Amino acid sequence: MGATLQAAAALARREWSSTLRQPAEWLTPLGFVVGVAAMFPIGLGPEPARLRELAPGLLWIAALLASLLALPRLFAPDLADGSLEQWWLAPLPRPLAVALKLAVHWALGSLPLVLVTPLLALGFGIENPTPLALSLLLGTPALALLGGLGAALVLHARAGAGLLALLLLPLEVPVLVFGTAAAQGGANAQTALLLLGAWLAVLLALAPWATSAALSLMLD
Amino acid sequence: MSLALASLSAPPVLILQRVGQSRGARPLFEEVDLALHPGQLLWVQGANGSGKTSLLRLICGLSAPRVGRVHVERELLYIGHRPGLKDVLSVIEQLRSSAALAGRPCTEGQALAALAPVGLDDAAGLRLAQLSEGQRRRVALAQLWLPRVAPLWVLDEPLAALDAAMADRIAQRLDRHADEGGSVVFTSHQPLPMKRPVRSLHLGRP
Repeated sequence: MGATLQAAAALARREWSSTLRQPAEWLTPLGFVVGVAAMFPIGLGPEPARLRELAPGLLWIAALLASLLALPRLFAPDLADGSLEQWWLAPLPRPLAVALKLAVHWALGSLPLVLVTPLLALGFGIENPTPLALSLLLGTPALALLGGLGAALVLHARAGAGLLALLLLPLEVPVLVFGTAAAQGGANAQTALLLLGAWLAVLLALAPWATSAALSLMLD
Repeated sequence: MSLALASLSAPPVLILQRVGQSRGARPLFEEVDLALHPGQLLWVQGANGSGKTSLLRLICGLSAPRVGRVHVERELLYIGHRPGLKDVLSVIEQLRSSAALAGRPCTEGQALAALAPVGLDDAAGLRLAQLSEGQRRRVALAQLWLPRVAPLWVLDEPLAALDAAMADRIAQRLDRHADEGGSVVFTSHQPLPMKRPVRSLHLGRP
């Protein structure tokens, strides 16, 4: 048990340090969402009521697309430099190694989005950005878990990025539907948030196992 | 293809029984039988593409044999062609991180002591991106000098990109590990200057 904890801590620490030192890896999604949000008033017109109505859904779509940006490089460098083999030989369950990798990926790539998006929402005149923030807090880990599975499955594919989008977008539709419904606030928001949480729980229970199985196939 | 089983008192740390592997439809090797005991060194030889790395990966459990059985009794340390080096980490961070990931964390002092035999103690703070290929190889091999290292070492081309003096030092370290009851399986295209007898296994056509 001690060796497992030490290995888990080492993996998380290494992932954190190495990702943090490559700002392009984790700043790109944030920059994408901020950039896209800046385009909304240009593309939709500056009418405040219209922007206020559309902003939660548009911010959610931007967050979803941003989550796809880093996926082609999620596992590819680890496969290329042999890190994946070292995780597999470490005294810790492979799904746990995958879960730790995805947790760091989410914390650096998506958590800043969760923190910044409500500020963007305030900029669009949304008086209560809490539903949007909560929906992203539950939705972005679900996107990261689905993204990890997709990235593992297309690891050896030549046109990996395109294939990844084709594979993931249908799977991410429920997250988008529940997420935008929760972000809009109103009567159905709580139900949508609960459904989003349930979907996240299902993914937490299944995705690390499926992803580690896919990565094992890629290593074999 | 078979190696005579050594009649040693200690039970083997590694057993291969009628192991065969292929890459796609192409068979790499068939009927490999082997028992490696504590204190033994095994040199896996063969031409490029004969399946040396594939055999090491089977031993490590990174892939499954097409036929046969692989049984590893003890914990192992695997240093492959690509040993998980991260360009953005410093030499000492990389070494300590590799040790901790293997469940055997070491102190900064122990890591520095392990870097000295590979001549990198004065480069401990450098990032791996700043090192040459040979120096990067040395960072990976510095794990062999860490305390509490695993008893079975599986090394893929440990001498690749190393100079003659460093190759001698690696050979001495492998000798000492075997003297202490450890076992080593390694591939190499050149003989290692070891003092202890080395068993060998030829894959493919001799």
